[in-house]
Amino acid sequence: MKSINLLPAKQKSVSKNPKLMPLLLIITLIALAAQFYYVMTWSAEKDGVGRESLQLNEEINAIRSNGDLKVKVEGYKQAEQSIAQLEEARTEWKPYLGAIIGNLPATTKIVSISADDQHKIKMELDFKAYGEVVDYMKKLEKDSKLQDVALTSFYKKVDEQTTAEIVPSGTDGGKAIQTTRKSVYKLMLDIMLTNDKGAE
Amino acid sequence: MQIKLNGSKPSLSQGQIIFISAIALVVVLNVAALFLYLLPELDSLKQAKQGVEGQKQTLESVRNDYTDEKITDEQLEKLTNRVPVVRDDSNNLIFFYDVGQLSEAPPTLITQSSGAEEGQSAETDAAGSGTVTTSFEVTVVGHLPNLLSYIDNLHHYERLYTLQKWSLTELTKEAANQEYPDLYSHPFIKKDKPLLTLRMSIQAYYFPQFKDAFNKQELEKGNAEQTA
Repeated sequence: MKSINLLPAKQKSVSKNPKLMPLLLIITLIALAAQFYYVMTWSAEKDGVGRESLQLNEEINAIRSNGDLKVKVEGYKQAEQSIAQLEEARTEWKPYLGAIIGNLPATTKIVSISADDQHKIKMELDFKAYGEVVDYMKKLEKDSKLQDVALTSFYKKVDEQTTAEIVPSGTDGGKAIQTTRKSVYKLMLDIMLTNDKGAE
Repeated sequence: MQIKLNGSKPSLSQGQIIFISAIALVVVLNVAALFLYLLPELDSLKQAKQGVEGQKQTLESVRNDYTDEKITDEQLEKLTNRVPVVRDDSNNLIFFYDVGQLSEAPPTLITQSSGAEEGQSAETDAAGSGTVTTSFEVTVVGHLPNLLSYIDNLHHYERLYTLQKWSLTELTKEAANQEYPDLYSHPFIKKDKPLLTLRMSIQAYYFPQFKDAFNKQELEKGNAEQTA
């Protein structure tokens, strides 16, 4: 008997395999390409960002070194202004004192001079001679820096202390000791000051 | 006899097996590269972008806070010498003595008058808010020209002082010997010239309101060094 092959003929392996292989290949290649592309993009982006960061840093530093904080500058200006105001408000005593003391005769004794507020000076002086007193007051009155020279008090004061003076006595050239009391002319003045800043 | 009824399985050829394993290998390597290299790159990019955002904000605030004017350190020093931003009594003490040296009339007494503190600076309202005034009573002894010199030197001194009240009174020899026994040994005091006592109410100032503004520079620089 002959053997009859009932098996179907061997099929050629036509399966999905042929389509799968190229597909797989293509997918892989696409994936690789996509990743490569993104890496390039990100790398470029990173460079750009790096540059931007440097630029911003430069700009920030430039502003910081170019000037100062507004708070500081404004504070400084305000402080200057406050100082100017304080200076404005104070009295410079020298010119007034120059007028008051400059006109004093050398023999006058200053008992006291005082200023309780910025516009008035009080004085107590001991003069040796009456004429000097009047002279002095007239000089003060003429001075434009002194507005009002008010006489508070004026009298001749006789000192309790006595001094011994040697005076010639008699015609024969002898000397005698004479006790004399010192007397002074006491003058007390209230002087108003001119404020050239115009407030008064 | 055996009858094989199963269809023959389609089998892969050897080439195809090699091909598929190659592709698998590539995929594995790719995934590894993804995790080791690509994702960290993406991460650092994100961080860099965030950093830039932060810097942009800093730039904005710096633009708002800064001006293009500069106050030099010398200017600031000169101003704070004139009026300090903190209470500086030790220097005030030194200065009162310095003026005494300059004028050849030594201070003999320096006290601070009580009650002339904050709020009372508005004696002259022009002083402005925040300025603190301290009053000192200073007594100086010497000869008339030197005392007048003291008043003038005080007025023009590097630090700002206001001479509010003063009084010059005669100092007799007896009183001098009593109150200031070693006065005549002082180099500035001569025996034959009349002595006077000058009592002064001096106002000194300081500006606490500007303390922060003038010191802020360091704070800003400190922050910059931290973010850089």
